[in-house]
Formats: sequence, C-alpha cells, structure tokens
Amino acid sequence: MLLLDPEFLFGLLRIATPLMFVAMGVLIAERSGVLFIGVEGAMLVGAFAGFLGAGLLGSAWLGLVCGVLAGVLCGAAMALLTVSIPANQVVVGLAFNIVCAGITSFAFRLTASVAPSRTPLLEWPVAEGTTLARWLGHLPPLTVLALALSAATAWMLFRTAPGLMLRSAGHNRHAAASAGVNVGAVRSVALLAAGAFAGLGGAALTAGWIRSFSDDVTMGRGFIALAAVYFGRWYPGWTIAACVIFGIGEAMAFRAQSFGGNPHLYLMIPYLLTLAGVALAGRAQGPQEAGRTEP
Amino acid sequence: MTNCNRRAFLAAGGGVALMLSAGFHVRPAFSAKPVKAAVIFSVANPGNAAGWDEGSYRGVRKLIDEHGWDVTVAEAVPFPRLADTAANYAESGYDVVIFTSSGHIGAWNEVSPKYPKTLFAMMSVVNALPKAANALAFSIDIYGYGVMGGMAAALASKSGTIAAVGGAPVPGLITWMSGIIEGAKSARSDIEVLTAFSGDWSNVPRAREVTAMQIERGADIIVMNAGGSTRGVLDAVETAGVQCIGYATDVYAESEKSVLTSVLMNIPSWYEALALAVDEGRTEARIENYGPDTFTLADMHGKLDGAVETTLRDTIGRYQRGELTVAVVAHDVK
Repeated sequence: MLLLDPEFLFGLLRIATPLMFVAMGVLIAERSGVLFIGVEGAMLVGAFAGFLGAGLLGSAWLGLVCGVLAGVLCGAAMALLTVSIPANQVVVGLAFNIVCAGITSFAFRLTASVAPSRTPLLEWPVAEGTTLARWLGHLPPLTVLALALSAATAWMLFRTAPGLMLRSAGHNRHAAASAGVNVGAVRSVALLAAGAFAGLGGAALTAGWIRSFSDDVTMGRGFIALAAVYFGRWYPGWTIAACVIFGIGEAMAFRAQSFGGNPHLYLMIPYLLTLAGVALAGRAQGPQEAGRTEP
Repeated sequence: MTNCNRRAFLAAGGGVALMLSAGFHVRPAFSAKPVKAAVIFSVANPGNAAGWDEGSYRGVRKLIDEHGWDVTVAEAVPFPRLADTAANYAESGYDVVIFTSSGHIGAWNEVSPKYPKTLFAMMSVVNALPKAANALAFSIDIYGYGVMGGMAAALASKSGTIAAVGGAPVPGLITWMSGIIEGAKSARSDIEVLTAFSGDWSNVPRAREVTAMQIERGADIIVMNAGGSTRGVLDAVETAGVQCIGYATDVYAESEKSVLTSVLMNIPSWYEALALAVDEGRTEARIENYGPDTFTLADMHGKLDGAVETTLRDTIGRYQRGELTVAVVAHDVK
C-alpha cells in the first residue's frame, strides 16, 4: 500500500518539513494580529541565505542558521512596515514578496561565481558508526526539529504568559492594551519569530532538502503554508496535520505518474488540496485583529 | 553623366531595388554596425542552468565576445508570453530574435511571418519551418541523441533498469525519450526503461522527488534532461548512490560522485554558424540539422570497468558511423 511504503513516507516528510516551519511562522504572526502575506518572500530570502551560507561555510547546519538570521531581518522589515508605520498588511505583504523575488534573483547572480552550485549534505551532528548515529540515521533531522519546534510553539502560545499576551494582541488589541500589554512590541517580537521560522523553512528547502538554489525556488510554498494555517484554524497541531496532508498530495502527484495518463493532472493534486483546504476553512474564525491597519 | 556611369548607377539602383523587393535582408555583409539580437530563454539564469540552456548561453557569449553582436537576453519568459516578447523585440528594431527551446515553436511560427525585417532563429529541435522567409533553424537529431544516451545507460546499468527523467513533456523531449528506449533495447534486449517528467523546467524539488521515485523503482542509471531543475536530479542521484548521464553539456563538475558521463552537443557551434550566416548574408529560410556524428560522450573518469567502457564506446561509435541501425519508434511516454 502506497501510504505504508517507507520511501513514500520519507518523501512526504521531506516535502512537508519546510511547510511546517513556515506555517509555524505564519501562525505566530497571525495570532499576534498581523497578516503574514509576505511569508513567501521571507521564505525565499531564507532559502537563498541558507543555500549561500551552507555553500560558503561548508555546513548545512550553518546554512540553516544563516536562513534564520535572514528570516529575522525579513521579520524586522515587516514589523517596521506593518507595526511601526503601520501600512496596509495585505499590500505590504504582496509588495514584500515581489521585492524578495527580485532581490534573491539579483543576489544569486552576483554570488554565482563564488558560491558552490550545490551545498553539503545535511546529517545528524553525531559521530559516524556510533549507536546513536545508527538510531538517528533513519530519522530526517529537520522533520524532528520541525515537530519539536511546533510542540514548543504550541506550549508557548497556550501554556505561557507571553503566549497569552501574544494571543490577546491578536484577539483584541484595545483589551490587551488596557491590561498593560504593549501591543506594538508584542507584534514586533512575533514578526521577528515568524520571520525566523519562515527563513528556517526556506533554508530547510535549499540547504536541507534539494541542496541548491534557483530563482523562485519556493514556488508558492509560502502560500501553501498560509493555507495550512487557515486549514488548521490557527492551532499548531491541526496546522502540522495540514502540512502533512499537503505533503501527501505532492508525494502522490509524483508517484501517480506511474499510473499513466496526463502527468499534469497529477501535478495539480497539491494545489487542489490547498484550494480545498482554504475552502473548508472558509467559516473558521481567525484572530480578529489580523489584517487591521489602525495604529 | 557618361553612359558607363549611368549604367553603373542604374545597376546599383537595380540591385538595391532587388534587395528591397526580396522583402528581407538582415544585414548587409561587412556592415560596420553590430548586429542587434535578442535571445529568449524560458529558464532563469541560463548561464548557470547545467545542460541545454547553459550550452545555449555559451553560444550567446560567442556572439557577444567573438562576433561583437549587441545581445539582449530575456530569461524565464513563460510560454504564453513568448510571442509577445519576440514581437516586442522585432518592433524595437532588433535584427535577430533567437528562440532556444522546442517549446518556443508556436511563438516562432506565429511571429516570423508578421515581422519580415527581423530574422527569427530557432536553436532547438524542429521538423518544419514557419511560413516565412525570415526563419532559420539549427536543429539536432534528438532521436539519435536519445539513442546514444539509451545505449550508454543500458550498457552501464547493473540492475537492468534505467530511467529517463525530463522536464516539461514537450514534443522534442518525448522524441528524446523514445530514442532512449530504442537505443537501450538495441544495446541490451533485457533492459527496462522507466520514463518520467517533473512537469516543468524550474521546479528543483519536484525534479528531485520524481528522480528519487525512479531510483526506488530500481533504476541505477538516470538519463536526464531537466533544464533549470537539473540540480534536483543530481541531488536525488547522489543521495541514492547511483549514477546519471548528463544532457548537452558536461555536468561532471556539478557532482563528480554521481555523473557517469554526459552526451555532449556542440551548441555554441550553432551560434557560430548563425553568426557566419548573418555576416555572409546567407539567411534564407532553412533547417540546419546536426546528427549523431556531432555528439560526443564525455570522459567517464574511470567509473566503468575498462571492458564495459570499451564495449559502450564501440557500440555508440558504430551507431554514429551508421554501422548500427536502430528502429525509429514513437513511444507514448508518460
């Protein structure tokens, strides 16, 4: 059976892992009351920084760190534009995506002569041949990291005081402010964290999975993560489940080609799932403040 | 004016009138003005694309560096925008517009008759010309090219299963895969040939996973033509510890561990031929076809057993010399 095939399972985890990181970023931003439409751009910047860092520093793990740092910068830019100024979150997000696509393409060409075309393989940072290495060898490191960070995010959001402050800023900023919460500061910090997650997701795609970069390499994965959050109704567990469902869709699309017929029809599966996910989440009530522009 | 001068004047005037009545002439021979050309790619960053588009980009560099052409490169032009892009160049006074993929044939056919003062050159696999005098093509025998790749893969395979992985399922690529199937079977009757498309020329993750799937199905040699997503194929091959055969240019430097060889095409020489044709005013509509004798197998860096490599090179050499015939069959590849 296809779903029990280990190679299929590893395939869907490879596909779903970058989505999980990015979706956690979107979830944090939107729970704080900021629409994170610019997530595709932040992911793309993280993907480029991850590729460049891994290639130049000779370590995929260092590439991931570079992706996180680049994502934090993107989050800071988003915070400046949508919290400090504040500009319309939808317009800023869309413009941010376009700017990031241009910047990464330009920077990719500038660095083509100095950066290796492919990055080192990402492996568990344990000595080869040890029992621990044999045990961990079968587990994709980034999937484990994504699940751990998702659990930490869920705990932080629903079991800690900062999480309560963040959710209150996204639910009703006036009520939060009257309770002494600095809404602007909370949203800014949330956007830094969201950017870090988006950057990590991008780096997981390039340095952790395909080990190379090309223009627009994210190919709409940021938007799929956005849809996963809506599908998961802004709850980490359901969001991760949605990412896995999209991973299954894409992995099935690759394998279904062997069944015959037009391959383009199968390649539509993940996007149809995204559409269905958003449609099914149509009545879901998101954070009330998300998308509001008033200072 | 003497009779002699009058005759010379009339002859010169008649010559100009004849040229104008022909309706098209890109550029008189020995013109001091550089040829203004536009090259259209459907992939991004073709100079770094590893494969066909990189070969084309090297050809473009030849036009600029060795022939002094004034060249504009349009990257990542989506198929629906090709005709408009080419038309814009023609309207802006470009002498030559170059298409670089067989996926551009529709636009080539559409635009060429509308702008008779511009030369539209196709640098890819074509079988027919547009209904226009200003269309020129430098094409290859893509079936024969596939045959060579199929032979090499079949003879190098230990598992008895090989796979051809392509980008978008354009007609040229389907012909290439048919050639691979027949070439492989002609070299080894028990070979199984898998085929798959990633669906486009730029989605690296998708190309990687499609290749990984073929490896899971038993393929130990991957013959690839994935355009800008070639590095996805290379990563899947390297991760699984199998080998692949590169397309058009030598991709050994991209992954020394996993590139067995590449079947090389001398794509820059097509651009050289175009430049000479324009310089000499030989721009009449025609298809210049490059056959298997123009393809070569890159170094294998000792990856195959000596006897196997000798058999492989001998088989391919006999095919190139016409001593070995391979059936031409159009397979309905998926």
